Order: sequence, then C-alpha cells, then structure tokens
Amino acid sequence: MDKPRGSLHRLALLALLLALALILGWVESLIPLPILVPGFKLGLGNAAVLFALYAQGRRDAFVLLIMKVMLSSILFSGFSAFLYALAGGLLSYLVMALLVRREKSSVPFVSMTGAVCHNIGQVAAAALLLGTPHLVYVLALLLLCGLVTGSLTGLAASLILKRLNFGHFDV
Amino acid sequence: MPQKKSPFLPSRREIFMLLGIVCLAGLLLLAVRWGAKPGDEVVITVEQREYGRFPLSENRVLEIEAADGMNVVEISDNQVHMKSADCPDRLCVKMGFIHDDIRPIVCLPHKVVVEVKPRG
Repeated sequence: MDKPRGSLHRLALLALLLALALILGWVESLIPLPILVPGFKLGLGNAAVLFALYAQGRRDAFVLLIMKVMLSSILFSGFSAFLYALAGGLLSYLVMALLVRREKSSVPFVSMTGAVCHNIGQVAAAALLLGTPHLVYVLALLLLCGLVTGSLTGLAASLILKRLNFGHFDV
Repeated sequence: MPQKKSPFLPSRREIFMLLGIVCLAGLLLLAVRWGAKPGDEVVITVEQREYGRFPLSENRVLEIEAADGMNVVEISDNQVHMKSADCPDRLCVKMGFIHDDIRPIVCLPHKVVVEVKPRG
C-alpha cells in the first residue's frame, strides 16, 4: 500500500480510523474483564492510534488520539473519565511518537511502552485530582497490566501493519 | 548469515527494558506491602478536602454527598468498604474491603478517597 497522497485520502482514512477506535472502545466495554485494578482496560483503541502513528504520521495520530478521547468520553464514559484518559493518552502518545521516530523500535515494544505510559499518566492525573499520593500500589499493578495489554494491542497492530504491507515493513 | 531484523519482534535490548519495568513494578509492590501498617482509623477525603476520621473498630454506615453524587461507606468488623455508589462504573464498590494502608478505596468520578491509617 502506498502512503496516502491527497488530503481527501488522508481525511477519509483518519475518519475511518476514528470510527474504528471508537467502536473498539465500545466493544471493549462489552468484554467482561476481572476488575483487578481501577483503571484497568484493554486499550484496543490504542491499537488504532499506534497504527496511525506508523501509517499516517505523527500529526494525524495526534488528531486521532484527541478526537478519540473527546468523543468516547462524550459517548460512553463522561467527563470525569475524560481527564484521566487525556492525561494517559497524551503521555503514551508522546513516548510512542518518540520511539516510532527511531525506526529501530519494534511494534510490540512501542505498544507496551505506550500502554505503560498511559497507565502512568492516568494514575498521575488521579493522584493530582484526588490529592492523594497513596496510589503507588495501584500504579505498580497497572504497570504490569500495561505490559500485558500492550503486548496484545501491539500484536493486533503488528498483524494489521503486516497485512497492509506498509513501506518499511516488508518482512 | 546476517538476518534482517523484524520490526514485529522486540530486540534483546527492548526485552531487557521491558523486564526492567516488570522488576520496577515488582519492587514497588513489595515495598508497599512491607511498609504496610495496620491502621485503626478511616480517613475519608472528598474533592481533596478531609471529610472526616472514624475509628475502624466502630461499626457504622456513612452516607457521603459529593458534588457529583452519593457514596455509602460501611465500617464493620474492623474493615471498611464502599457499600454503594451512584457513579457510572461502581469500581469503588467492586474494590472490596480494606483494613490497612496498602491501597485506598477510590471513587474517581466523585473524587472520594477512603483510606485506613494508623492513628496519629
């Protein structure tokens, strides 16, 4: 697949990814997961952001992230979840964008690091908003969860990138 | 024969870094567990302001009116838990009972934190 050229192409692909990310977020809420830790989520929507980061570039991935966080909190989760999701999303985006720029990083590594950073951002936001620093235990558990969920979403993104055969990903 | 590096497999260095995160998380968990002190006082914080302190040894039910909704905290048998709440996810209710300072019970949507602390 070639890199998308025209701005219409880009817009269409971005809209498609946004719809996909939102649907994935919704599907995810239907999967009954054990409540190991508050804030524990599969983060399937992040697979879309990761994919966009590789396929569409940093700018589009950023737009996708912001739109995803805004719309999913309007549609599903409400305002309070918005701040946590935004804090986590921004931190994970920053780190993933930096890692993708260095092309040496592998997709699962970027995904897992992204998931871990998402959880760090989330807990940091919670610590600030709640005014309690007693979240170390939760943070540690979420770090481990992030590695697991990150490897799963990384696998998903890997498979998609492979199938669509993106430029420097011919293996 | 030099093999082409797959972008889908983490390199050795990346695996070490990921293991580093695992170790860090494990150390944090152990540190919190070792540092755990049995508490005898329930401290409730609502929207960053202390709501009240209650002895863990006295059974009682507290109805907390936060700006965004209601939480019901129950202290019984030297344990405390969120009995009910009208927040959307009810994670705080699912977090169960606590009796030490390892972790607090948190209701994120209502910004209610329930902690158990040693007195003093």
